[in-house]
Parts: sequence; C-alpha cells; structure tokens
Amino acid sequence: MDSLFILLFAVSILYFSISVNIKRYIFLLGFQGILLFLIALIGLDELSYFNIGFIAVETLVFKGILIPVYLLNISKRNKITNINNFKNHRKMKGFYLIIATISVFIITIILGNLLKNDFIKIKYLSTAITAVIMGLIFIVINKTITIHIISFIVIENGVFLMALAVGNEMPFLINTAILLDLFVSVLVLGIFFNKLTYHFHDDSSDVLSSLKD
Amino acid sequence: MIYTYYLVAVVFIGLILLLRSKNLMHGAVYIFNILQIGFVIYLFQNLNYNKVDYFNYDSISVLFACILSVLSFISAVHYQVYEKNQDELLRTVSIHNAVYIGFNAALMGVYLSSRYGMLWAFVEATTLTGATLIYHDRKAVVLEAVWKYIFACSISITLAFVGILFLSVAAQEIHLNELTFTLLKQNALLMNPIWLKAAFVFILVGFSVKMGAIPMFNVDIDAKDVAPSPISGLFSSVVLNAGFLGIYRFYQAFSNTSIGPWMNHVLLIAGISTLFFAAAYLMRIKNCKRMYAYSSMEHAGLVLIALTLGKVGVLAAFLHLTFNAILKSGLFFQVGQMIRINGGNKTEIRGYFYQNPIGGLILLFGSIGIMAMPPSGLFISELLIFKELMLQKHWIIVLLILFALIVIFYVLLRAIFKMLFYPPNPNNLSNLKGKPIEYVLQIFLLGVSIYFGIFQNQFLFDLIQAAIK
Repeated sequence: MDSLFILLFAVSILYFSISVNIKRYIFLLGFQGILLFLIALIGLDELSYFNIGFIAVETLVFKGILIPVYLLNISKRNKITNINNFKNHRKMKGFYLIIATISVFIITIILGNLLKNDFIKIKYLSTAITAVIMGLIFIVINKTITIHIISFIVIENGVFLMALAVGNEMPFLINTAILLDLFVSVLVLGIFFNKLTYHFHDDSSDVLSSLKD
Repeated sequence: MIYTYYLVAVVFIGLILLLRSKNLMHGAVYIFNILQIGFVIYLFQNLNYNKVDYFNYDSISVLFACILSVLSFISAVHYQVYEKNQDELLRTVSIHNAVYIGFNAALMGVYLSSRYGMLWAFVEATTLTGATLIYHDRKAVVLEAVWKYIFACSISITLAFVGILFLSVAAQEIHLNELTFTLLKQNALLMNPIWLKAAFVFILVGFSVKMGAIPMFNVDIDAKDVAPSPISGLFSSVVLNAGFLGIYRFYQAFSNTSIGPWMNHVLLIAGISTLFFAAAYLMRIKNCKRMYAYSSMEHAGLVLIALTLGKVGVLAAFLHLTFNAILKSGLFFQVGQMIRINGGNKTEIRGYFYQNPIGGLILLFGSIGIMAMPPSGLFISELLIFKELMLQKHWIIVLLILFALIVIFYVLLRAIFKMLFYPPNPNNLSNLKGKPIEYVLQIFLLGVSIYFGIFQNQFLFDLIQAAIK
C-alpha cells in the first residue's frame, strides 16, 4: 500500500514540473501533506497514540490544510494568480523539467540500490531525494517569490519523507524540530512575503536586487 | 541549571513584552545579561559536566558561551545608544529586546547542545530570532536582506538536516540510537564512510550560511550590512562561532577515521575558496559595513584551513575565532557610531579621525588588529597557521593564502586610510557625537585582544587544548 502512496508522491513532483497555476501548486502541496500522513502511518512501526497524534498534526493539519489555506489567502490578497506571469518568469520549459525530474528519480534509485542496507527504505529515499533536488531546481529556474516558497515546502516534504526513509522511529525531538522549521519558515516567510509585495508591488525576485557591493 | 537559564530567558522575554518604558526594557536586558554572565561562571565551575540530558558543558561550549555573554552585554549597551539616536518606537524596542534575549538563548543552546538534533534545532531558532533583529529599521532594503536571509538560511539548515539524517543512517547500521557527540566519537571507526562523507558535505554546506563561508555566504554579508551595528557585531562573532561549531562537532568526531584526510581536503578547498572570494569581493567594496563583513568571511576561510592542520591547527582555529569575535564585534560597534556621525552614510565616509580622534584611533587599531598585525591576538593564530603549513610543506597553499591576504591587506588599508584621514565630506556631517561609554567598551575589547597577543594566557590555552584533546 505504501508503494502506491510513494508513487502518487512522485507523480505529484512530476505534476509540479508542468503546472503553471498557483492554485494547482497549492493543491499539490495539500495533497502531498495528506500522502505524507498516510505514508508515515503505514511506514512507521510501533506507533503510540501520541506519535500518531503528533504526525497527524504535522502532516494533515499543517502540511495538508493550514499551510495551503494560508498560501492561498496570501496569493489572493496579493493578486498573484496570473498564469502568464508564472510562465514568463520560468527559465526552463515544462518538458525539460519532466525530463529532469525523471532523470533525477532514476539516478537516485540507482544510487539508493548501490547503498542498500537494512535500515533504509529505498523507495522512500529515492523519492525524498528527488523532491529535495527538484525543489532546489524549481527555486533556481523560477523568478517568482511565490514559487520560491512553494518549492521550499516541497523540499521540506522531501526531508520529512527522508526522515521516514532512514528510521523506523522518528525521535520526538527531531519531529518537533521539523515542525518548528516548517512553522517558522512558512509563517515567517509568509509574513515577510506580505510585506515584500506591499513594498515592491511585484511577485518577481527581480525587485530584490538593491543590495550590492 | 541550564533549564533554569531557559526559564529565566522566557520570564524576561515575557517581562519585556509587558513593560511600557524603554529604560525598564533596557534594564531588563542588562539584568538578563548579568545573569547570563553568572551562568557562564557556573559553567566554568562545572566544566565537562555531562549529566544533563541534551546538554554538555565541555571546553568549547564554555569558551563560546563566555564570548557570547561578554559581547551580548556590550552589544546591549550599544543598542540602547542606537535606538535613542534613532528615536525608535516603544513597540520596536520591545520586540527587539525580547527577541534579543531569545537570540542569546538560542545561541547558548547551539554551544551547549550535546547532540546533533538539538544543535540543529537551536541553529534554526537563531535564524528566526536573528532575522527579527535584522529587520529593525523596517526599510525596503532591510526587508530584501531579511527575506534573502530567512530563505537561504531555511534552505541551508534543511540541507544540514539531510546531513544529520545521513549520519543517523551510519549510526543505525551500528545500532547507535542517539547522535550525541560523545557516542559518535567513541563509535566513529565503526561507521560506514560513504554515509559519513555524504553527511559531512551536507553539514558543511548547511552550516556555512551561519559561518559566512563558501558556498552560502552572500546572505550573511547582506544581513551584516543592513542590521543595526550592534547586531552586525554579533553576527560577525557569536553567530560565526555557532556555524563553525556545527561543522566542527562532526569534524571532531570523525577526523581520526578513514574519512579524516578526505574531510581535510574538502575543508581546505572550502577555506581557500572562501578566502579568495572574500579578497575578490573586497576589491570592489565601497560600503564600510560590507567591508568588515567580508573581512569576517576571510577569517572564516582561515579557520577552515587551520582545521585541516592537526592539533596545532585546531588550536590556531579556536584562537582565531576568539580574537576575531573580540575585534570584529568591537569594530562593528565603532562603525555604528561612525555611520551615525556621518549622517547614516556607509559608502562615502571621509576624515573620521578629524571628527572623532578617539573613535578614529579605535577604528585604526581595531582594523590593524583584524589584519593580524602584532600585537593583535590574531597575529598569534595566523602565525601558528603559517608555521604549521610550512612544517607540513604545503608550499603552494602558503603562497595562495599569502597572495589572498596581501590583496585583502592592501584593500582594507586603503579603505581605512580613506575613512580616517581623507578630508571630511561636509555633506555627510551631522551634529551627533559619540558618548564615552561607547569608546570605553571598544577600548576594553581592543585591550583584551592586545593582552592575549602579548601575554600568552595559560588559562585560555589550557581551555582550548582541553577542547581539542
């Protein structure tokens, strides 16, 4: 069953590559949050009720609902829904992005199998590394600040999946740290993003170029 | 005791947010700083005490905690002067001071953590609190820097977490359930080097953002440029130390394993690149704060190089970090006053010595100090680095470092002489003058560096040697 969810997670990364609609991006983030909850539920052994509750808050509530709703509100408030805007500010075509995603995925599977041991779930690890690398690529090739935030959350989702891949139990502290990271990054980024659009009236990272030597 | 420290920090944060007088807020910060100094004295008395869960009072932790407590107090004094001259709103001061205590607590956590997960979480907390401190002046350019800082730091810290996950794979293979530094060191030889190498690369890249080294140095420079000078001083010293510690804890655990030589190569490449990038950027610099920020980058590069040179190198690295923290923070505090006297201008400062002779002398001697000229303490550490490089016959590296340092020396000296001794620009002059309390603190920091440069303090050497054993 977890293979199906992992596959869906990988497909969601592919879908990120071809999409140019902010609502779709945010929907995909929510979808990834729900998938992560299901993967964690199936993949983690010996879960106590407390752990299940904690993971549910982290994945379902935060990643699945709160963050997507928050981002949707920000994008509506700042009127960032123009598809052409996203297309014009992307430096790579969707087709090449799909090729890149598939290539990264294949390479990580090969690497994962080379490093195979009893403590790693290769499927999880390959998908997680793909999410991290593709998140970084999305940041580099896109000039819109909104996409930067969304790509960052894709990276965070990848790291969460990686944590599932390398350990059967996630220590409470690390779990809290991930939640703190997510909370801090997204909410603080959201707050500053609001201020940025207020000051610069633009979603493009081109406006952020006044700091020079 | 550490939990009491955090409880006190929370109480003071709450208190500051409730207070409605700027003076009382500053008073609360001073009291917290005095208590923090008291806590560091307690740490010295309980050196190497490791019976507290999640925390460890080893020599490195205590040395860095000591630097933090002293510089934090001095920075608080300068902030009070800064906000009075800016005539800041009560709300701004309240947020700043509350977050300032949180920033201190987060840094203390980074230094005292006994395991990687904790250290990482506290580094993340320094990003949040640090970004709020940078966003003090609420201008568009500050917003740009803060945005870049949070974004790059978040990504870097996430990458560092990936490194920690790889480390946990290596640990799990030998049935190690905790990533405490002591356990990692004890079991280092049993771990799979492939995972360790992967972990090291991610950890180095991740924590480089805090250290201001290659590859994630840009946002750190921007942050130091736009932050209030008392905060820039802390970023150049105690935050740099925190980033270094994130890397060093890994290096310390695994330097005696098969990946030791490989780590040395990676650190050497990172260190030399950092040094050359700093030299290249400094050549076109006009902004005095960015100039000192790049100087910190130069020292970060030297520290990474020093790490690769064995025990003497590690000793030199710690001495270098200590003296850089003392001198660079003092310089940033003085630069804050200089910018204020020049009407807020950071790029066209001329003739500061004629406007303010004492401040000019502090800037001159401080700048000579960061160029590692005797009797600065940095001279000792750089001498040790060069001596060790020559003893190990790394002649090409010696030449490369010398070339970069000569360029940096020339550029810094030229810029400093312009700032100090060229005729003042009448358009930039303001009627504001510095207060004696500002000079006294810088003179104290300068004096400490010179004292350690002339008299080799056995206590400091013993402390560092205990750390590298």
